[in-house]
Amino acid sequence: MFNQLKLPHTAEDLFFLVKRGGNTDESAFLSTYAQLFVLGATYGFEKKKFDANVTSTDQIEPIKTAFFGHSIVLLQTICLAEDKTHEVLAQPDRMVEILQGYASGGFREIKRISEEVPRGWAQIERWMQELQVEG
Amino acid sequence: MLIEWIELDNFECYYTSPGKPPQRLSFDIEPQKRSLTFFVARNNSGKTTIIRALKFLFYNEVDEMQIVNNKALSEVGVGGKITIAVRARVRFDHPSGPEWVTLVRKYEAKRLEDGDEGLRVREIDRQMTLTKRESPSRNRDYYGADATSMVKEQLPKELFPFYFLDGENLKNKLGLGGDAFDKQMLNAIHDSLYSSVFERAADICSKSIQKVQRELAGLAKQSKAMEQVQEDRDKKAVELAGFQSQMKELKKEFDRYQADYQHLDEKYLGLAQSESASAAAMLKEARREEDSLKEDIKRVGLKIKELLSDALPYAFMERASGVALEVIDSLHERNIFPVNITEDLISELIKQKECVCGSRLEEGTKELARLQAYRERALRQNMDEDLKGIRSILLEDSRSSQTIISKLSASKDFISEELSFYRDKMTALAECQDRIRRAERKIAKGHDTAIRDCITQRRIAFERKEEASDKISRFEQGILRVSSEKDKLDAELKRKVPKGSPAQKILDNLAVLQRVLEIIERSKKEIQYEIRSRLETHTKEIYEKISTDNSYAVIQKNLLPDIRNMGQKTNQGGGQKKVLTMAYMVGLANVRKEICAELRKHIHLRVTGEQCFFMDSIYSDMDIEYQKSVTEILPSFVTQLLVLVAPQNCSEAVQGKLKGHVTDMYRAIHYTSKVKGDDPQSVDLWGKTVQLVERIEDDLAYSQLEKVEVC
Repeated sequence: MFNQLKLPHTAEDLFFLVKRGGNTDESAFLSTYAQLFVLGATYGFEKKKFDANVTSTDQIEPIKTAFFGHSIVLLQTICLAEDKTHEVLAQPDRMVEILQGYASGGFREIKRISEEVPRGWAQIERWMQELQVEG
Repeated sequence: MLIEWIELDNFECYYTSPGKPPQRLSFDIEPQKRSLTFFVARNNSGKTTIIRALKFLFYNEVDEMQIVNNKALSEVGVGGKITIAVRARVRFDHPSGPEWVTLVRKYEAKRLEDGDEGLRVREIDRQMTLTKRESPSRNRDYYGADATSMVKEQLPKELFPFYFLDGENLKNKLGLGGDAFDKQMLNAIHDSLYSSVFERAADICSKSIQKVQRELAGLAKQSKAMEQVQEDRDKKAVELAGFQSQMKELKKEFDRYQADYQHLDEKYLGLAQSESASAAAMLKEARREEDSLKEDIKRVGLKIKELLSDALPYAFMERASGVALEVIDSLHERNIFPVNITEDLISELIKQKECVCGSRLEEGTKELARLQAYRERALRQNMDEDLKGIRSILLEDSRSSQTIISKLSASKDFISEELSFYRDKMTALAECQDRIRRAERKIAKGHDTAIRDCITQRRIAFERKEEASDKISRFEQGILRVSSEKDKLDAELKRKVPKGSPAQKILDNLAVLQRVLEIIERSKKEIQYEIRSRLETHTKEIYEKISTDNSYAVIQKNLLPDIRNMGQKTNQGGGQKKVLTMAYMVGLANVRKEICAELRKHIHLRVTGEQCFFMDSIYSDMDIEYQKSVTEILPSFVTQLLVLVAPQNCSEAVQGKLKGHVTDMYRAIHYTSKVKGDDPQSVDLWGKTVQLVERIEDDLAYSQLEKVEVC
């Protein structure tokens, strides 16, 4: 589908949400950087936050497609919804562009709402609110 | 005391010729024998001089204008000196043996000008030498180191009492109208009667005590350290007693503190331990609860986080799914089924659609029906194979979607429940932690307070205990030190005053003397009464032997108080009063002898019982009967008797009674150019004429002694 997705540099401020690399932050609830990417992309698309010309972070290696697992469908959906044609699914570069753009925008938005409350369980609860609002 | 000899050297009328020995009067005194010396001399020729010489020697009674022999003084030029001396050798008969003392008293006379006015007399020497036949060292025990100085210091009256009766003065006094007795004699008798003998005994004791104390003082002076040691020792003893008393108190205090300390130890430590254990149990329980809560929270948190990570992407997929489905629908309407619109994608879209909005499940169902319609249409277009596959996929997807939807729905509920649970747990955790904090504070406070109190009390108790212990330690050291010093001082004292040493003996003597003195003081009146009683007995016995007129019964009533007036009232002359006086004297001597014997049982009394009696002119104006009886009776009561008689009183009756008793006889030869008065110049004694006057050319008369061999 696409070779590799790179995390935008806007994700750097949100690494604390990922329980990797010895991170013991209480507000971390994601297990992989792939989940972080999916969260960013879905949130960015939902909030219509797209960044063009996204630069990638050097801190994290590009994420292999296999790491996304079942969430790849979510990413395909975003791409399909963005271009409104099934042809996009045959264009890996376009899909990367769409996904990284929305992920970058989504991360900026997530950072904003993360800063609204202190880290820890307050942030978890903040996400719970998001979930309920959306739900 | 008995007198062995007397020497007079230029004393009053007795002149010592240059180069010749002094005038000596010897008495034949032998143990167990009585001595009676008969001395005859004219008036003013030297009879009473003998008594004055003894007074001079013993008592230092001196008339400086009369003491010098004028002839001797005249023989030296102006500015020349002569020596006047009286010597005597006396004997004391002690139970332990006889003892002799030689006494010398010298005066020096300087001739300044002619005549008495130019005479200067001063005492130049006074010597006493003490010898004892048996054991001179024993005398030293008594007198101490310096016997001579002791003898000098001892009152001669105490050591050398002698009795004399100046009958001439008695007669003269009587002759002056009943002014009775010689004042001195009267006083002597009076003193003796009431207190003299007793006082002498007490005085001897006192003086002996003083002497012993002086000797002790001497010892102390010799060993100044001893006094210091004694003083130090007493101080140490006082200090030690003080220490011991304080030590006792301190030990009590220490025991009290020790008990307090132990009690506090038990009380506060027990309390602290109990509090600590209770608080620790509470803490443990709270922490266990905390751990459990934390575990729950962690578990729920993980679950929430896991669910959140799953659910959140789907929650944000509403718009994307909607748009994607519309795209797919559009394709499908145009019968376009692109290969890359996979079943996964479609099912996921449906899942998303249903997931994010349960209300769309119905729409999904409708979609399913729509897909079935597509199937039928596809069948009609001979697309069975494709449709078959699509159908099965759609059916599967439909089921899968339903499952996912239900799962998501359940997840959402579960998340909510878990969140609620989580919140409850968080609240419980907060409460628990608050409880823990309270428990910890309580523990800290309670434990700290208990421990702090305990420590404070323990510290105070410990400090007091330590303080008391220090004090005790110091006192123990002090006691040891003082005790050791006291022991040393005791040992030193023992060494300085060993048992049986002269010093110890002196101490013993002192104790005895003090005891005797105490007895004497206590029984003063009894002794006075006893003396008076004995004196009366003796006097009566002697008087009644001499006198036959039974007058004693008469004079007894007025024994002493009225004796002075006896002559006036009774006009009893003829020697009665002389006899009475002699009886008193002899009685007094006897009483004294008895007292001395008794005192000697207790103390080392130097005075002796035997006394010498010098009777001067006792026969003058005395009835012949009295002369006879006195001469006959008196020697039997007296050990040594010197009878000084004027030639006119040497009656045959007297001589008759004296015959056989006289042991020595002396005369005083008076050398003079002028014989005055009617007194005889010689006397016939037992048939032999004894010359008493020798004529010389020189104007200055003098006397010399000479022994007379008659008996």
